[in-house]
Amino acid sequence: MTPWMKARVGARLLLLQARWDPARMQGPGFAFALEPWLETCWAGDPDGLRAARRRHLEYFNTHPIAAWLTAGVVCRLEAAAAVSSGAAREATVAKIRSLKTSLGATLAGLYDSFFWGGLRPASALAGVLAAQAAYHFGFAHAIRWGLLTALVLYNVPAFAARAAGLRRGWEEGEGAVVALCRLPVQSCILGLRRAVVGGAVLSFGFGAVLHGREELMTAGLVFAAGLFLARRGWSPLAQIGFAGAGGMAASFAGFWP
Amino acid sequence: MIAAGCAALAVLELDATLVAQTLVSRPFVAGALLGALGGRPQAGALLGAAFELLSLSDLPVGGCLTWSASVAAGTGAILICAGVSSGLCFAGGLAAGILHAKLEAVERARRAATGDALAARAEASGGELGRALGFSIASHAAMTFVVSGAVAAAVLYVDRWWWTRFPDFIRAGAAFAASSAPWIGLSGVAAWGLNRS
Repeated sequence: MTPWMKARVGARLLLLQARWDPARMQGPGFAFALEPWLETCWAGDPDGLRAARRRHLEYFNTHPIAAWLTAGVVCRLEAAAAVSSGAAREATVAKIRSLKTSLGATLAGLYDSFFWGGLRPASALAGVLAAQAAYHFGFAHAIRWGLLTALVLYNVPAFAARAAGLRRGWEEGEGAVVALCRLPVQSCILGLRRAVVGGAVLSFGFGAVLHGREELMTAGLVFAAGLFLARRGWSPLAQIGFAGAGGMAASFAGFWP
Repeated sequence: MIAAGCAALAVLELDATLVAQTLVSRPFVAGALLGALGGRPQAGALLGAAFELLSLSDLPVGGCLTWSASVAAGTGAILICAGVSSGLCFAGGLAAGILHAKLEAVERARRAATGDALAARAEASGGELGRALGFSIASHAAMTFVVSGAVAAAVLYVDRWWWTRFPDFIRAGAAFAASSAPWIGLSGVAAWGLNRS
């Protein structure tokens, strides 16, 4: 795989979910990403190319960033399938199918926890905190600092993981997945989640100092009630509805504002 | 100005699921950018931050579709730049976010229904997939544009002709819900982190 081919497959992987549906999930997007490589591998075999397209149009689902590692491994196996024949080709094709299913599910669990459950909330909260801190300490362009912090903190690791996944998946095949599993990902996830809790408390503090004593008391009460309700399974939207109804009732009864 | 804001939101929102997922569609970013487009970056960022905190504990896994926080923040920012009161902006944004999620579910079901026909065509020609993905992106952006535009128009109508005639306690309730949102969001994030630590 040339660097140009990796760039083409990578750019197309950014559209992995462009035709997401509940039946095939990311299947069409994954087939679209692999298309240039499949055309190269199966250039002299139209039937082989059709069969390759068919197997990648099937159901496929994983985390969008994990798809890059899966694509690297699958590209390596497709190249092996294209140069083999008979029983060896059938075995490689069967391996591609089973690997996509198992790898997709396994990596989704890991990447969802790290990127969606850890890095995304941590970087978004860091952005909000950076804007609050810049505003509090009188820096110019507080919002720009916040936006920059959120986008850089998320995208630098995310794009590094994408590029490394495709490269190492191609170079090492399944060995890249084994190497990934040796990384201390779980402790990173735990650290990020603790940072999110700490960030939420700090953000509350920054927000509180901007308000007067009366507003601060209301904010504290809402925060405490929200914590209580959230730990009992109330969604934020349900709590907003409850707050709206409560505000109306308090105003109607003459308690507020 | 509202049409330009809705068009910008339609492009930004693509990042949420369909294209790249680089976080530019996050409510805080979308709210600040659309606020800047309308000349009120700080108000847009504040509203975006409220929606950001409310949606921070939502995990976009398994096709989960409760509400679109990006559309909520974007529509709210467009409305706040048009001079609508914060309580009504917040309610309008929330309505747009929920409506967008409902329509996106319909859109996904329609894609699933045409998936087999597309697969049959794509087997024969690789170009078919590119066209299908392009159509899917364009139709989703159009849907976002229409939803945010329709909700913004409806809210502007209510704001101009009806909102001041509403009883005080209703307006007070809407304002309280909007001002409570960041604290509810922060408490949700804290509870979510504590549950998983």
